Amino acid sequence: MSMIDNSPYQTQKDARKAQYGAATARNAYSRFLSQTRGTRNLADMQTAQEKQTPAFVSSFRQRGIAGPGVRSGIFTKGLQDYANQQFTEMSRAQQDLSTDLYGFDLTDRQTAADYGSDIADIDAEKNREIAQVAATLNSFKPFMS
Amino acid sequence: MASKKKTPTSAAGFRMADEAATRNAGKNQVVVNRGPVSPSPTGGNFSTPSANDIMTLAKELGFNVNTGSDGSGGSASRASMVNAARQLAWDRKKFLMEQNAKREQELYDRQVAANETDRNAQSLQNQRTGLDEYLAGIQAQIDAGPSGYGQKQEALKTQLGGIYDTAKSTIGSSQADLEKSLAAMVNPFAGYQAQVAPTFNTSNLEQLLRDSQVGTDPLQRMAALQQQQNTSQAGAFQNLMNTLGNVYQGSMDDRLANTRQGSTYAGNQADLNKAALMSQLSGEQSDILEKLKQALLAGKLQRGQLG
Repeated sequence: MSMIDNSPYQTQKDARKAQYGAATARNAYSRFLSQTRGTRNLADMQTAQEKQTPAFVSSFRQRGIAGPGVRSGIFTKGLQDYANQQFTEMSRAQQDLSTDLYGFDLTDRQTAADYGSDIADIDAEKNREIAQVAATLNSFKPFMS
Repeated sequence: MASKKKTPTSAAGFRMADEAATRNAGKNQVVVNRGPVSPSPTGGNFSTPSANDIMTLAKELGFNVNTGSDGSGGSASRASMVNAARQLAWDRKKFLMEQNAKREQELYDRQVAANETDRNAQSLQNQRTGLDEYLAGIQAQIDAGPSGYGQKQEALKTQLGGIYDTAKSTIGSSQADLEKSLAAMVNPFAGYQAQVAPTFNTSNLEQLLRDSQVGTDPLQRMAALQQQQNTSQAGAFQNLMNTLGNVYQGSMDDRLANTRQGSTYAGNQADLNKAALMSQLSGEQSDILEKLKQALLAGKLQRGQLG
């Protein structure tokens, strides 16, 4: 009795599925690259800090405002600012990486949601056509006067 | 005792006798035969009378045919009488022939009329028998109901009714398949857990500050603030994902509701279409029934059963 050709719907779904797979793969790869770069950047920053800190402290000692038995306000303030500065830079880098990863997560979920909606639309349209044809029996109307 | 038939003694007597015979002949019972009758003219067997016959006839008519001693009845007179007798005999024969021909014609006409009447009666009988069968056939169709007088429509009703039932079942199964398919779709936002960005480890910096006898409170406050900010950021993103998940689920539920509504509408439409079609076919059957009733009524009127 079926006068409905389901193949176009299946073709649409297959095409949409392929599109979704490609988009998901692209996003996953981008996420991987972003995470790699971010982690590497953090590691580089930490290495740089570790190298920079002794030089920073010794600069105060050279000026005689830091060292055993010497506690100056300048050194204290300067060292605290340095520590805060290092912390802030590292935290921002970490936060940037996290934000980037959020973006990729969002893209991934949104891509899946769009795919699901499109598939649901295609299935709903197929269901609607089946229901309409079944309800009206259009294909039999020419035989009814 | 046998009665002796009276013999006419004159030409007028002969004529009267023949007319009486003709009338009697007309009263004869007519035998009706199915087959046509081919009349054959009857003229009787006529032969020229002999001299003795003429003489005998002349005597019977009262003529004096003797050539006696009184001298009467000479040869001329005798010849005249013979001629008169011959003429008379001839007239009589001719008259008989004419009467016979008339009787035969009359018999023939009656026979033809009888045959015609018989044929008409037979034809009428056949017509009545055929009409009775015709009326009985109509009545049988009416008595058989729609399956008798509306077979085509009845078959179509059964067939289309089954098709519509199947169609409605198809609508239901299609909707069930769709719901199953949609239900199987996982909400991509569901179950997502936003990762809080890790707070930078401050242990090295704190160690540096402690080694230099510098307080770590500002750094720790900053770290705590950063931790709070990261948590807040993750929470905001989680809320965003939750919202998107709810929107997605709402969209799916709405889509499902729409398809359910569509399927219900389609099912109702199928019922209406089926009812309309059944009504149409029943109407056609009613038309046929009405025509049959009219034909039956007309046939009965013709048959004389009504009025």
